[in-house]
Amino acid sequence: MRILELEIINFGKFHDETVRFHDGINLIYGANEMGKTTLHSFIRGMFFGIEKQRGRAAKNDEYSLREPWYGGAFAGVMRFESGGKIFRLERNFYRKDKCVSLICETNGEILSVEKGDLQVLMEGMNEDAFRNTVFFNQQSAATDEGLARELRNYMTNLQNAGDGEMNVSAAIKSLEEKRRRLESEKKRLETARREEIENLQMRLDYVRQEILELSEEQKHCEVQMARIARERIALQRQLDQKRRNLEQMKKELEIPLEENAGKDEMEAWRSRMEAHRSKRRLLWRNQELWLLGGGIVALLLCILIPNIWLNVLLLLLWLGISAFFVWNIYSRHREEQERQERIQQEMQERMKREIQAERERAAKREKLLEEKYQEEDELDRREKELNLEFEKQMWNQERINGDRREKQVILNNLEESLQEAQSEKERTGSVQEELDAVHLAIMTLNGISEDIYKESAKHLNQAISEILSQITEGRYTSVFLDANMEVRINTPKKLLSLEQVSRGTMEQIYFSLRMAVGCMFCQDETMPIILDDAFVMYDDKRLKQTLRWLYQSGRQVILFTCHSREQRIYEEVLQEETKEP
Amino acid sequence: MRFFHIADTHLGAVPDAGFPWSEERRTEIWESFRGVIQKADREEIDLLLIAGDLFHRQPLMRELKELNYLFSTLKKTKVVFIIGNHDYLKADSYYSEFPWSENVTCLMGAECGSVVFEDLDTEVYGLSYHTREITEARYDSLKPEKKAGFSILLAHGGDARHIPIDRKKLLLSGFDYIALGHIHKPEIIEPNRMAYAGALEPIDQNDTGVHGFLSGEYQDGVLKTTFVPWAVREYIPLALDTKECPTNLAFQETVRMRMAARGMQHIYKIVLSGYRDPDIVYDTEACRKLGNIVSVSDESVPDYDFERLGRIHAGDIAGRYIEALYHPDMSETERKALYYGIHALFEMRG
Repeated sequence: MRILELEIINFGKFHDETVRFHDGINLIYGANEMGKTTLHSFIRGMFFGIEKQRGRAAKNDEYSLREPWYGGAFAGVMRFESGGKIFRLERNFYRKDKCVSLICETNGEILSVEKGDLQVLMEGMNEDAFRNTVFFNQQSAATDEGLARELRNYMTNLQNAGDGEMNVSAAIKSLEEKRRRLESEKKRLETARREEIENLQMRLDYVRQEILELSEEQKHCEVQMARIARERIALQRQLDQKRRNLEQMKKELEIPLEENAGKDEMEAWRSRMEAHRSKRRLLWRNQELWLLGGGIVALLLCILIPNIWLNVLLLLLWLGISAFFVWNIYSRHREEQERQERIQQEMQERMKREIQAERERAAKREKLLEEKYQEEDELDRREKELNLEFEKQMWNQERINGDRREKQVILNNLEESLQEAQSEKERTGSVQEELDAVHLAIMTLNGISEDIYKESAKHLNQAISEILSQITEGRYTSVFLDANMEVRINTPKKLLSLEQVSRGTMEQIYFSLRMAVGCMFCQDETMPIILDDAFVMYDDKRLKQTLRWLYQSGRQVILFTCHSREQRIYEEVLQEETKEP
Repeated sequence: MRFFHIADTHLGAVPDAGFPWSEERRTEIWESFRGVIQKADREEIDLLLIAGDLFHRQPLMRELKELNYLFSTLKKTKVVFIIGNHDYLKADSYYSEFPWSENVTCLMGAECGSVVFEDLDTEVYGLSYHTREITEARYDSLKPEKKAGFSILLAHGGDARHIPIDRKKLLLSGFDYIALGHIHKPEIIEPNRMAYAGALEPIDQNDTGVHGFLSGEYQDGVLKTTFVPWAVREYIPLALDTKECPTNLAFQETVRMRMAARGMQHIYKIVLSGYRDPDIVYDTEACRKLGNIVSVSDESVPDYDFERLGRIHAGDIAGRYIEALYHPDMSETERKALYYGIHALFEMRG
């Protein structure tokens, strides 16, 4: 591209000015305040427009700075050549009436700046790229640090802007986002699976615990049963003993109760009494006989002795004797009876006492026996209890065994389920596949991006080095950007960083970089190089070499300067260059 | 003589753990089995043959009791079953001493045994699994002893680790009918001679298609068997093409309609394939909520012509990306990576 003509309608201090440019180097020399920077700004404005900023920033912005001093339309026209055709770009900068038109003068085609036709003519260069490559202004070299930073920023941007449209880092970012989503999906599935496994494990643990408890219970049961068995044996022994004792006791008790205690004595006494009585009776009979005999004798005497008085006397005598006898018998009989009664009473009392004592003894024995029976009953009861308990424990053991067996089956089934769940990979498989794919995509893109960066960095390093080498007449032959985007300068002695070289050299490196990057950007169409007093820090030698490089590049150069030095040196270059062939 | 040949009932199985219908399936599997018993009773079927894997895992005592109760309700039907690899006869299995109802015969031996039903003039042969796996081909050399007019072999297996079966050999062995179990997909190997009844109910999502059992009738020396579809639900693979669902909503709607047409009780596996507009994203998660859907896989591929794209973008990032991954026999992962990368690059363009 070549800029042919600028028609300034109103721009800053300019009004109705026309400036024409030729091929190659255009040196525009002027003292300060001539409007060189304004012109420089106008060129950029024509390409990209001038936006009025908002708020406080608007006070001193480019727009305010370039507003027409003397009024009139804030506008301009630029004619340029690109690809063999001539175009006419008209622009109204006035913010309320902004408009731009692009016409191909060669074939009359009307193009659209909005649709990017102008950018196409500029090889896709946007304003940023433009300002960072071919468009040098005074401010760009304001501070050393700023320059280095700008350079670094520039290279960083270059990496992404390298392929214009395709934004690798955004693509990687979008893929990373996808990966995150997939990761969380995978996690969700894994959590679900883990939960299932945990659930199974929990159930397993539970069943294991149950089995353990059952074992404990069984052990307890066995202990109980052993105890019961022991107790049973002991009890049996005890019971046997008791039974034997009881038998004995029973035998002992079978001796009849001495209900007849004292009976013999009584009997003896009775017979004695009887004997006594019969003896007495005999005696008694004798007396009766005596009485009867006396009576008969008296009667006979009475008959024989017919004396009445005698008879009466005799009778009376007999009566007297009889009465005596009767009284005697009677009294004796009573006495005897009394004595007998007394003895009998005594005997009876004694008997009573003995019977009582005997009864008491019998009751005591009865009680003892009762106790023994009770003891035996107690033991019997205990034995029954033990038997029942034993039976219970038997059932218990049976139940435990049954339970244990069932639990064991459940346990094995659960273990199988667990194994299946653990070996199952299918569920996360498809997500994992996606993840692998996304991962591969990211890796590949990163790799390519790095490759591209490395390649472009290599080319760039080469291009910069070539230009710098020419400008510095071989003093610096190798410049490269390290991994941290730091510019490194290879000198025969050592490796320098950008901060370590002089301000002038730094600007020359910057110049080389801009030129190299510019070349990379516009491979088919070369943009004109527009410089506003960019060589102030250059010494004469390097200025000469720079101008020589610019001349040799064959590109259109518009160089604004307030020094006559450039003119002088350029003429030297021109002479040398034209003389040479 | 009429018989039912069922297999692989897998009582106690809980398919699709984690899905809402999982527990319901557990009950359905029992119910479906009960249904067959009732049908056999109603139709006064002579023999109910069960070719193994009655239970999904080792049966519990109470489960055997339930089963035996069901068997005991059969007034005329006699039951013969063998034990398969899933519920194999472990050393302490409840199977070993279970007092079966008198109409039930379990051929428990590890070696082939038989039971003769004189009234039916039928002999049934079979063996049970005593280990989880049997790699020996135990059926191939069996021959019926012809103690009865009609001999049936009840067999379980047919893959490398579960009694491999040489089908031709077995067909020539002389059995009048070979009732097979183990393979869940019903398959008539030789009509009226040898068949897999298939699982009565599908047990997992791989058991797609119709499930049921075989009903046979032997009359005048001729056997005729028919397949009876029985399962309450089916696992249905629903293959969709991107052509019928160009957008996500269309996809959801198509799935909904296709499911409604086949029946909402079924369980679906949805596979979407074909080329799609690279900008369309199908929401598989939303799709899952439309019914009993066990899996949704989006196998559709963005409609990129990589060879053409590679030419157009030769030299730039997209071109180099294609160059790095594209080759005629790409792995699935590489293919996907290619789509994702190109999609991301184009999506983030400008």
